[in-house]
Amino acid sequence: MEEREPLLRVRNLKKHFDKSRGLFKREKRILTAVDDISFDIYKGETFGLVGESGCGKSTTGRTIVKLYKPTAGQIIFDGVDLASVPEKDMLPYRRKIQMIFQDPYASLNARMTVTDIIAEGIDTHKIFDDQEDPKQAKQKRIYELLESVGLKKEHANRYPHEFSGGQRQRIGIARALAVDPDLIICDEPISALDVSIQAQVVNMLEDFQKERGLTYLFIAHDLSMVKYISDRIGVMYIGKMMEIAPSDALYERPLHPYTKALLSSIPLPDPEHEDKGKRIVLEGDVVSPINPKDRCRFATRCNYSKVLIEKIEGQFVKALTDKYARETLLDPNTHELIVKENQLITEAIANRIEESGVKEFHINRAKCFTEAPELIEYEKDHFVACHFTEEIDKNTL
Amino acid sequence: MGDINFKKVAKEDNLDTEQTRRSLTYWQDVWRRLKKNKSSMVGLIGVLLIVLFAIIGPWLTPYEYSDQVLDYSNLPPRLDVRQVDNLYVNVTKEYRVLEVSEKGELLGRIRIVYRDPIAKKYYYSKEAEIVLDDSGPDIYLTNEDFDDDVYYSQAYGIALRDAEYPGGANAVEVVYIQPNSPFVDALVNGEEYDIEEATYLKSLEIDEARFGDSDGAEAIVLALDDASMIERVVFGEDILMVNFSYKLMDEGTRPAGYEDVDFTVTYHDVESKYTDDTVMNRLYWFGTDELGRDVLTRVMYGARISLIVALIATLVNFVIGVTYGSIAGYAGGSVDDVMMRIVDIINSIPLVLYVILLMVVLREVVIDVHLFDRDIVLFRGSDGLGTIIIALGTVYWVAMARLVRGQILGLKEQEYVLAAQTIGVSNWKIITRHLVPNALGPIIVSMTMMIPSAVFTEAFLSFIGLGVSAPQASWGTLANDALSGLTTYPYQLMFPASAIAITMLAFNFLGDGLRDALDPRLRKG
Repeated sequence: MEEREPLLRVRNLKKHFDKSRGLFKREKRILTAVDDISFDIYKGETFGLVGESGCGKSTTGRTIVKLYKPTAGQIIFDGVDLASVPEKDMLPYRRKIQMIFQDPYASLNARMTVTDIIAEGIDTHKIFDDQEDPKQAKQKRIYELLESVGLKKEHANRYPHEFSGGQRQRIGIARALAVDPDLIICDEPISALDVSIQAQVVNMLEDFQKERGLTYLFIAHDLSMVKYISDRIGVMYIGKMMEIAPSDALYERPLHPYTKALLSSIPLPDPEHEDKGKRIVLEGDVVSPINPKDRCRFATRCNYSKVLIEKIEGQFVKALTDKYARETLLDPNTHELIVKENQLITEAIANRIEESGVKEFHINRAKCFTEAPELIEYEKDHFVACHFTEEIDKNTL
Repeated sequence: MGDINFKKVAKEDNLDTEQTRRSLTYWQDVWRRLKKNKSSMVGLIGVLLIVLFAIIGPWLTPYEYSDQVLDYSNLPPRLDVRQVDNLYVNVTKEYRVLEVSEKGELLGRIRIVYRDPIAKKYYYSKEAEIVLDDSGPDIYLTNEDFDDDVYYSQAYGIALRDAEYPGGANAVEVVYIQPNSPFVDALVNGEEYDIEEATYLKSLEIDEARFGDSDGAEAIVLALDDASMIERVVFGEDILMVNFSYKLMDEGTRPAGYEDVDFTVTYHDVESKYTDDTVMNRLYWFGTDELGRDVLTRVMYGARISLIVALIATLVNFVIGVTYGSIAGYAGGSVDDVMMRIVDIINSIPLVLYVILLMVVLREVVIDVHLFDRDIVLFRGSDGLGTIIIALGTVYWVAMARLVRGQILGLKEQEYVLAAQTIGVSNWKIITRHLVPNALGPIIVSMTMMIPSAVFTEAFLSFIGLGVSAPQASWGTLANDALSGLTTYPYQLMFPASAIAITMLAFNFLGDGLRDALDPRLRKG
């Protein structure tokens, strides 16, 4: 592949929300919505961002357009670090990055006509002010935009409530295009639309990309749609980037256990092949993004992160006078130990054993529970954040 | 059938043109919904009528709100008319006799010439005349304008204890003449009577007596030692007598034919036992108050003051409340916390306390500007109007600020606001173009509800004596003035009270309708 030029480079981006409670915020609670993620988006490509709800993909998008002030990190757009640009100097960059929103009903102001909605960007950035007749130029531009998104001139003076969801989303797209942006962040732009409209909108977005050389950051949870539209895909989980790869590579050879599970959940439109035990069902609790520990966030649900009872030594009957320890370690009916040596247990049980104060167990936790994996380039263009990438790839675990 | 009924149409014919109609703006839609709501339309019409009443009303009445006609004090809106001989009279509750036309137009007062409190008969005459002894220097009139008729009826000093001459009444009460004396005979027969022959019951010495007459002139009678200066009294032919003795008799002791008679009126030997007709008071449609001022005119001027107070207070609340609330809501965080704590503090101080303090502080303050060679007074603390507006303006915006803040807090997370931020629209424009217009529904409803509440608060403050000062009147002060005579003259309270009630109802109906029209989702039931 030839050397491509990154339009947007996100480096160690963090967005934390303070959810502290109590008088004078005594109980510190930091919600790490986006925690130290880095990725590049190249000019003219579509970068898909997937993950389950609440994983921080929308927050990432909104932080890039600086709807949220980044806690740390860099957002380098066209060589300028937007994170360090003060709010009052943001205006020229605002024109370059636009956003398309998820809910076509909430994203248009019901009190404004379509013309007003689309013209807002043109007015704010004074795009036609140097022209002879700015009013007419603006009107012409609005008509062009409407027609390019598949609406009619007559729709210009109508109000949003007179349109269907798909039409509203087109108006939202026209609004984003009105200021001639380079990068458009599509925040689940199709998930509120019905399937037939989804295809139309996605095709329209692709057409615009070809015509205008646009770059998209496409946030979605519909995996098949993301595969269709994206050149490269980033997978997020609880504020962390788990895997970044070209979309074909990701779908054909996912390396991160989370990506594997995620992709196995795509329903196949073929009843013969459906549900042949291929689906990976994740067990375990989802880690809270509030005050997370420094470790792999997927570890609690991962099939590869093991906790092993290496050895049980000595007598621990004394300790079993403790009710909690007894309930943890003994079968309630047979009163025998539930755990044996060299047995894999879940992290929850390991925690309970430790909390119960029984010291005779030697528990060995995988690396996943003690340190956070770095996102490393495992292969060219294929980044994975897992301690066991190689083992998983070579199936040696 | 297909062959016959269907024809192939060329694609170029483009028959599927879209049917469009002009799209309704938000406000057209609101108006359409409002029109459907009957009670709110009644409210709207009521509001318009009240506003018209307040604006145009005072131009249509011949009276000023401060015009006093003491002869016509405490008149009801409907007059009981008795016909005695050729004369139509109305006898008031204080046994004043007013001559009226058959239709109820007031023609004038027939003055009382003698009261016989023991026999419970009062004598009235249109033509009574007093001849004065001009020898002595006993009476000095200090005012040339003083009306003759009042003067003599005062000065001859025959048992005048009339309430309409405050300050003068007791002073003139110089001579009591024994009841059933030859004086009465002379009076009834229209003869001359020499005052010297009357039997004096009591004589008071006074140095100074002060009289006022209906035209506002004032005279001071000095050194009225006794009644000796009255030489004789000339009574006219037309003595009218009111006998109210029956009213005080027990049921059984009343003479035959007088069982249910309150009082009789006798004129030219014709006796009237009952009211002949009750007619509208054509001079004063709503009656008069205790100083003979037209109640209708005063209610109209009261409407002006009440509505001005309500309107200005509401506008001030709108401006301050929306600005403050939207800044607090949009800024959020600690700015919001501080701003809302200030609101809490303001809200915790009772309104009456504010008004009393402001009254005291602003009493001496006068703000005027010199414009076009005239001094225009913008604010005068002593007349109470400005003070009430300031008091309401400082307190009422608190509710509005809270409402707006709540609305903005919810709206600012909406995606269209995020879209505007992404485009780079300035914060102020986001507030004015996106947030406030979308919160306008609840704001307008709250404003419509605030107007009656301000009217009521103003009425309440005026009622407890903290409002506008006399002779100006708001509905509250009118109600307060009427309270003292409530049992005798209930109509004086009825009109301002109904005005308050109708206004509040109208605005509340309109407000309810507007709430439904502006946000159909909020509709109850």
